[in-house]
Amino acid sequence: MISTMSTKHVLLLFLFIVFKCAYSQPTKNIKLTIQPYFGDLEFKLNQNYHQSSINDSIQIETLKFYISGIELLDSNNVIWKEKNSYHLIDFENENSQSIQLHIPKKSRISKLKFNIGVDSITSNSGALGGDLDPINGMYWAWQSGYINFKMEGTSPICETRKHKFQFHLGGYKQPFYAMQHITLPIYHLDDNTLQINFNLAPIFNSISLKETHSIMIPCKDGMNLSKVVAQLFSIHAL
Amino acid sequence: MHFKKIHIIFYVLLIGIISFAFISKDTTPIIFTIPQNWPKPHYDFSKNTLTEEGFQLGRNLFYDPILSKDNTISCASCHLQATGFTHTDHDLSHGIEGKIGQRNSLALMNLAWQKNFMWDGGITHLEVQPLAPITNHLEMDESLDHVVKKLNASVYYKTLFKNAFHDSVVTGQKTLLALSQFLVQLNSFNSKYDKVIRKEKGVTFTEQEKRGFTLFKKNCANCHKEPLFTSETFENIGLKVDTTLTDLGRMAITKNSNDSLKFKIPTLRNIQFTFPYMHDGRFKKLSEVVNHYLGGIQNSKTLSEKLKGKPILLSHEEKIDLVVFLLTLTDTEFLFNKRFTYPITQKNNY
Repeated sequence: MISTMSTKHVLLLFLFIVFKCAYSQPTKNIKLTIQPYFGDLEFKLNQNYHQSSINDSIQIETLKFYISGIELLDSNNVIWKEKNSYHLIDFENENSQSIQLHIPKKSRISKLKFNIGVDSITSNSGALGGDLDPINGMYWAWQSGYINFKMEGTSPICETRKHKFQFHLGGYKQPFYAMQHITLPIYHLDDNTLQINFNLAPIFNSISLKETHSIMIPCKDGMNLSKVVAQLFSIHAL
Repeated sequence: MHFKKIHIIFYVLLIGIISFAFISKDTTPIIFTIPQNWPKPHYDFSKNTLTEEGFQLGRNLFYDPILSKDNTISCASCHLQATGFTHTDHDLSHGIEGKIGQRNSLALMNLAWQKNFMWDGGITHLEVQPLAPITNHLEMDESLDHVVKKLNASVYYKTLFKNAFHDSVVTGQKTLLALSQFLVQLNSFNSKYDKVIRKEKGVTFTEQEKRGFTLFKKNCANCHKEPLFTSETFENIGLKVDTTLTDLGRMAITKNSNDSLKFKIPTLRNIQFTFPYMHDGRFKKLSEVVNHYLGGIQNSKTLSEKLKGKPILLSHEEKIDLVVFLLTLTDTEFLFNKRFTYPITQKNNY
């Protein structure tokens, strides 16, 4: 292998490394955390929350979703884009709730952009690994595509077996391309952490669990609920 | 300081290149052959480089009931090689605990040329296709997560994964990639028909086969396009709805009423052995299929345009000629290829 590599190639490789070192910018780390709420209360799995709109209680057993395509902007210019940006946020796994971003040191940041869900090209790219490994239970089987957002729980108001409700939102083909783009303004960032609040309660104001308790396929109801989910995120005000 | 850093990076790279050269030595690459005059395959081999080790791992997985919940059903339970990798004699395929599925299993061959999988085309990539039978509660009723746990607990499989991927840690991705390596090589292109088309020495159609081929080209080839004998589209061929199943086919995926009762056009290669026919296995004999097109078509809103208008008229002799031609699509080299059989090295204790 080495013998076949000419001096010219070695030199080129060497120059490339020199170039790479000379121009690599110093970076800093930003910790992005997702903090879930149910109304004013901090949200935890398997706890009862009272929902005034239905005057009943809600318990959530599974809550996971994909955050993808993270970008940082200064006004309207993208100043940094995460490569291979797919993160499975699973509230059963605390580590998954924070994401380390390595960004150029002297960046002025005024906006954060990301998607909830997985884009259509990636959804149709075969067997992928890491957070996108179908082992995570976020890939549909009978029909290709990722589940962007999965929420399962119980509420006495659901007239279903064991009062269960389950929402699997996804779909990568029009008219049910369910991935959502989210842009949040950042007013100031000083301690290199960025907390995103995620409030679940409005979901249960927008749907009636009595009538809608199961979405398991790419469909119109799923599209509507995906749009509601997109409104649940905000930057934590210091 | 910088210079030192460069030095270190350079040597690290050098070591990397050397070790890469060593790694690539211990897997045996497989070159995928595209049969003469065939279109370019749809499958992207650049993301799943074919190796002998990957193929053998996939073959082991294909024949192993470890993929099912109670370790009783393997892929091969419904996809038997001698019958074109489908389940003959069963209109609907079986699952664990004697459960009966809702459709007739499809034959597996020339999958690298397929864009859509399943009768309704719900699956659009070969690599994720195995998830459907693995997780369907009427089939293997298992989760990929649990399959991976079982494989990780098996010394036998850890070795096979190490051989194929240089890493003994089993993941869902690697499991699916290995299965695809096996599936993508189940290729049938050595039937009598192929040999005649390739003008191989001493192989010619009989007069009857020639007449059948002419009839085929006139009446069937529009959908069952050569050389793959499918056009990869979905059509409603006017089958009377089986009310015990009420299977709407493609519409279940697209939610579009224009797709109601449409099903994937299956390949006709090895059709002699892939009976029963249709998505619900309603026809046991090829003659019954031919008769359907001659007089059994039920009109409906979504009936294929190609079947509207004048019905196909064939005499009794012509029907036989057509079926005789279809038998030339049998590829015994494929059906009895030892590379695709049960891997005898497979251990029973994991």
